[in-house]
Amino acid sequence: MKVKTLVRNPDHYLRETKRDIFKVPRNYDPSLHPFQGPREYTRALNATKLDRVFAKPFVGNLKGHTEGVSALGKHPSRLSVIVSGAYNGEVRIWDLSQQTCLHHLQAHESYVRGLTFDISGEHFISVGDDKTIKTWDVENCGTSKHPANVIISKSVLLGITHHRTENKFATCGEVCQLWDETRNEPIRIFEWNVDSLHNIAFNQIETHVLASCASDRSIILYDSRETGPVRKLVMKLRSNQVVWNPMEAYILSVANEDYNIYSYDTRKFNAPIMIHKDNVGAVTCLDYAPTGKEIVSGSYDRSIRIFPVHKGHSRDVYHTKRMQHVLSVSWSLDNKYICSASDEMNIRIWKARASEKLGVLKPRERDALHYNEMLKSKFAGHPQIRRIARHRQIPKYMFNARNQLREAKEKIKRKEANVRKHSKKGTIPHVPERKKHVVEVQE
Amino acid sequence: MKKFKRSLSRSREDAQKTQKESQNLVNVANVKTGVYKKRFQKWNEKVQWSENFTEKASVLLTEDAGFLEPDEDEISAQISQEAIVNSVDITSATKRFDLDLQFGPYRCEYSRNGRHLLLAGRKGHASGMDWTRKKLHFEMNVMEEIFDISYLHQETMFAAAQSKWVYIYDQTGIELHALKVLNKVLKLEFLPYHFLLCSGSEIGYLSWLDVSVGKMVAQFNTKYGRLNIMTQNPYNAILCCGHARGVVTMWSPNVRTPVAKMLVHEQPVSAVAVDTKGLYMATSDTNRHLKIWDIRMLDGPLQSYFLRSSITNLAFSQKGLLAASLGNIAEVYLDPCTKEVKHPYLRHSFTSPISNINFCPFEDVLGVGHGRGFSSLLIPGMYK
Repeated sequence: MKVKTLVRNPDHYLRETKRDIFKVPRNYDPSLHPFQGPREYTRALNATKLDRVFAKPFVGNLKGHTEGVSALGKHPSRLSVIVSGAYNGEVRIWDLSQQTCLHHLQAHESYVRGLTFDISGEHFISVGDDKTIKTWDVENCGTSKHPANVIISKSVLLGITHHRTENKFATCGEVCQLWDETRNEPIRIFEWNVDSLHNIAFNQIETHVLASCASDRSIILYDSRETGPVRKLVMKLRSNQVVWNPMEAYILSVANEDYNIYSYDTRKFNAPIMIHKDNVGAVTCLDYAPTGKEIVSGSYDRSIRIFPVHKGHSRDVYHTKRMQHVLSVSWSLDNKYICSASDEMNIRIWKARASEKLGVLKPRERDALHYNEMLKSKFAGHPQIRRIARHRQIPKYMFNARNQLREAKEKIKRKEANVRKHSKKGTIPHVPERKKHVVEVQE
Repeated sequence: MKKFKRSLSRSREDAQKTQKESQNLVNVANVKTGVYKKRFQKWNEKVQWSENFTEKASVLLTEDAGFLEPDEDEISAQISQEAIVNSVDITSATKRFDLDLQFGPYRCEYSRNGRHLLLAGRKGHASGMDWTRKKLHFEMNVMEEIFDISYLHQETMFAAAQSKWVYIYDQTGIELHALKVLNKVLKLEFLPYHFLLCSGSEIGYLSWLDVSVGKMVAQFNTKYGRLNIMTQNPYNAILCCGHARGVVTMWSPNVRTPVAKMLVHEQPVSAVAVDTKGLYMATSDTNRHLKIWDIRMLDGPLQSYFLRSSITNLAFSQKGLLAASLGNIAEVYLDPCTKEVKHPYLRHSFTSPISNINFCPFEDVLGVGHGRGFSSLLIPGMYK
């Protein structure tokens, strides 16, 4: 007879010293772990609920401006620095980590229209309604209060954007002008029979390409190497801001007056690739996350919404009782925070992910959160979990406006269907939603 | 380090071998459409990855499973416990012991990790111990009959079904609760993943009590009379009750009527057991039959045995061995579900009738409660 029984050496299961961690032996045999599915579901449900419990996106408030804040500019390399410009021409430089104002200066006589840092981050450039372009030294503006350089423009200035790698910037207003930082005259002027251009943006990857929004409801593309504009897209309503996707060179998004955000592929400009709907007021400002996967929008309906680029509806909405029309938003370059500037003189700092824990995470904590993330994504389609994850408490005016909009949309749809029903077959074509908002493309 | 490397590389070779032999892969060549082809290719990748992973992880399982190989001229059932104890190592030999107690017959229950043991004599004696270290947690006499005893989710609390009500005690034997809603209970079961204490009563009531909040989840009259044969299906936490009409009924707290009923025997059912994977159910009757059923299909019997005497208790081990008590004899069968067995794997006889039989999880040990106390038997090769 040969016999042996299972023996466990206690040394393998006890910790060696008091400071050692407890070892937990695991047997992955599924028969020892029944109810795997139901247990994971419960965990996913709890994780989703906790996600909503901990959703406290508001981080802080920067106060100091005495007029509505119209423009924000983010520093290209330092996360804690932003500049803001107000209706009364005041510019403030903020330290985000301390939530304090570092310097403030009376930059323009009225209305700061645009702010941008240069590539080194040592200077920032501001444009205002007084037709001046002023360059400021970030370090010295606390002491001197005078700009490092002033350019007086011949035409009105409404926006500014800086080239990603070269010492060039572009302004817009009556015309689009391209400037060299070392010269006082524009190096190039682009025109396309437009009254005024109110926003302009340099592409971050194809750095010669510019996009601009005009008051004739159009979006115009320029190439800074050529002498004229390249292409123009006319929409049904005016666009307020244009931003380029920082990761995909050919994608741009515009904030439109018709409450929607449209993302276009510049290679196929005749229809948007995605329409982001959810706002109940004109969208005034936009910014991409540095990952290029999400868009934040500020709206006239006093809210900030965050959209995944591939989804038509927002994943989150931020609002407070006191926040008025949002005029500028910026997504921080570490992909963690969002700054919003609004009409009632405040700049607010928000978390990009509402329930994210700030600060250093211990490895086990991080693992647990990662596990919860995986569970949430695994069970995201389950009705109860989806309901909890989607639910947002929104102000009554927004709720009512949303219902009204929905009703109006249904009415139009119903009417169109009725007309089609009583018309000759084929006379009233089905126009896809994505084709409805584009009037024409001019080359 | 060198040794570890070698073992890893070996396991990789093994993994490659299993890749070829793996039964779980889909033959992509037979799939016609491109979409499904891609989907199944992804599936295959996942299967291969997980199989390779388990192969690699098996390096971490340092213990070898026990075994018992009889010589050519003997059969394993002839091998006595004394012979096994004399041939195994000292640590394993200490796992074979007898407790001579006077308040029998005894019921026994192991905790879920196999570390602790709970004993209850019908005449009121209850005790809990860390049986591997032989360390007594408590010992007391409740001065009442105890019909059944069950650990709750941890070894720190247990429930005892006494002559009138069910009581909950802690590890030191202090009474925490008297559950007067559970009246005249004969059998207790604890559902660890639902935190439900289930009981079957003398007057035919089945109850599910949520021990986390102390609320009664459901209480039904089964209308089958005395409920002294009850077990849970560990795979789906359904209760299986054996009845005097030869019927096994299965119950869930969500439905007032049995979710399934099986006529398994012509005589009264004497014992029911469900294996840990929830595949098979073993039932026995008072007329010496033992039948194995496919519990998923409610089909069978897969196997039907006729024994020398009638079975009073049945228990499945984690590896699928079946233990049965026939009067004062305890027998263990090796894999009686998938093939017909001729002889028991091991057999041991006692001087008094066996009242309860239970495998210890994660160990090669079978606990037997009988009229004169408790015995712990060595059954090699029971747990991997």
